[in-house]
Amino acid sequence: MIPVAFFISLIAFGLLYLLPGDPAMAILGEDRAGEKTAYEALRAQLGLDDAIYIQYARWLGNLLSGDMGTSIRTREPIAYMVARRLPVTIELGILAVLLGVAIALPVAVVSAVRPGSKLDILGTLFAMGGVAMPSFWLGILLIFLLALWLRLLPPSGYVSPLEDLAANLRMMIMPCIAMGTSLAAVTMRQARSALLEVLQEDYITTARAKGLKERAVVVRHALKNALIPVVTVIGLQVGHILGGAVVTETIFAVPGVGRLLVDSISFRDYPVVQAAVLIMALGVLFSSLATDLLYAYLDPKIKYS
Amino acid sequence: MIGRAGESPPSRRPSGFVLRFIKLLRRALGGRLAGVALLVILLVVFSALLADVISPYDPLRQDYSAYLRPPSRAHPLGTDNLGRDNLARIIHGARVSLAVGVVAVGIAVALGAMIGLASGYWGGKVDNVLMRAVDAIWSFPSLVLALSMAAALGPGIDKVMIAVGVVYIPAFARLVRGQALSVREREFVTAARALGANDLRMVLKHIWPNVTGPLVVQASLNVATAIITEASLSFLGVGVRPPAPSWGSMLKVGYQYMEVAPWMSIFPGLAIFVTVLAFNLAGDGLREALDPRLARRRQT
Repeated sequence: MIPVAFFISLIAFGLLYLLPGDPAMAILGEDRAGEKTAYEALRAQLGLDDAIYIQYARWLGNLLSGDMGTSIRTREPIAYMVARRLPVTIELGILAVLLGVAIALPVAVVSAVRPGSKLDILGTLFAMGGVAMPSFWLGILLIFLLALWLRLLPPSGYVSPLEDLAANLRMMIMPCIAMGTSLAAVTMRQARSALLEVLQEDYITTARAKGLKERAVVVRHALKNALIPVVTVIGLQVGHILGGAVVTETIFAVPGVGRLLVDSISFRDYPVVQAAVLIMALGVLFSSLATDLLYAYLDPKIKYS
Repeated sequence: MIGRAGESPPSRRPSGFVLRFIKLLRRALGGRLAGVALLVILLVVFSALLADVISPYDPLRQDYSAYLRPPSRAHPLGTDNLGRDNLARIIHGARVSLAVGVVAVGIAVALGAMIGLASGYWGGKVDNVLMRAVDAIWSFPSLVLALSMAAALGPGIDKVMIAVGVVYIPAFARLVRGQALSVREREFVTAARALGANDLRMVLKHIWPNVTGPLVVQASLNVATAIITEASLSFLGVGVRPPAPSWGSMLKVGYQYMEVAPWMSIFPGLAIFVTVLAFNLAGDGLREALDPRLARRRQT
């Protein structure tokens, strides 16, 4: 994991050097790039006169001590900006996962218990459509339908759950549907195929032969075992959720890390872009580690040495 | 039977490979859904190729006497805020989506396959270093990395293609590595090595032909996700720049006129949805044709 984290830091650091010219020129913009004094002062301030490996070592050292630098636009410490927005993205992500699982599992059970039935076909169509539906288009359609046409929900905005939990949840409904639908589709496909496999196991036949009700066979015996691969799929979707957060937060004006990234790109605030990208990648890395550990906990046959 | 070094097993001769691919395609299209999906893909491809011929209007022509018009006989999908015909822009937008989808996946296949082959064939330290780098790219949410790269590289469709292509390298590198690892242990590879075939010949003649099947499936599925990524980038303002028509940038503008002109958002989104669905279904069809057990498992 440490080598991967090292490569992640290299990529995030390298992003700044993809800019045509150099970061100082990009930050000053076309209008002021010709001003030699301002340009040289900014280069010195950013430490761009040093060798690249020294710049990287300094950046990494600062990062490890919790200093992500300062925003060019707001002059705020970047760590503070990220820390303020991260809980919003985490809340949105958790609610989207809960919604996705709440939709996926019942649909998967109904589909797997009666494969080939009309309900199964409907479930499969939902899964196909959900995977192909761009979350930003779904978000736009939801705003049109639920906010502008039916006037049931506010079109965008955010209220902290600590201020007003009910208002927070109302505002989170549409972003969660927009983000959770594709997750529900992927989870449903996985859960359905895992359930179909488990339902053909000998112990399921035994459970039925013992006279257990079908509901108990499916929920207590089949679903419990089928959930193991589903957990992995959900764990692997964290990257997808964070990517979805970028567009969803932009559409619904939710002040999370995704929105921070888009805003920072618009204002050419590259140190913030670097930090936001790094945080998201490390989030994915840690979540895949957590998924591996959870997988070993759920399935006693797996042991990591 | 063990062949001479440098001689491929009979099933991997070029003509055999082409025939096998045609057979595979026929089997994949045996399913009704995959057949419909291919028809949709062909429709989108022809729209993109013949956009100048079939488009009812110039996609950039502004008509201020007909702005924000709902669908009508003159403008079947309505007009936008500058009076441009939505149908013409969607037809021309297919070019951008397909070009980015196909070229980006081409970049990802080329680089990913090279990394995967090197990693799987040589193993050891090469494998360790390459795979950790691939895992690092894999850890970045695809849209986040594509967005930051496209923003850093600057405007232009070529930059979008590179940004989207780089993001999908890990998918192909991991797939090819896995295939290469399993193929290199097979008897005909051991025999060819024992008879003195060099590394390049081993990789190109013996390992590469055996990884192309799964690669085609993965590529068709990734074209779909690349189309969504390009549309997302354009929607966020770092993809194809206006006034060039692209489905994502049309949605970006349409979103601002949602209340008065919902057709500006509905139709470009529908174009993305149908195209992505078609590529996904075609990819699924190909995968099932390659692994008939999968098809049977789905049906049970």
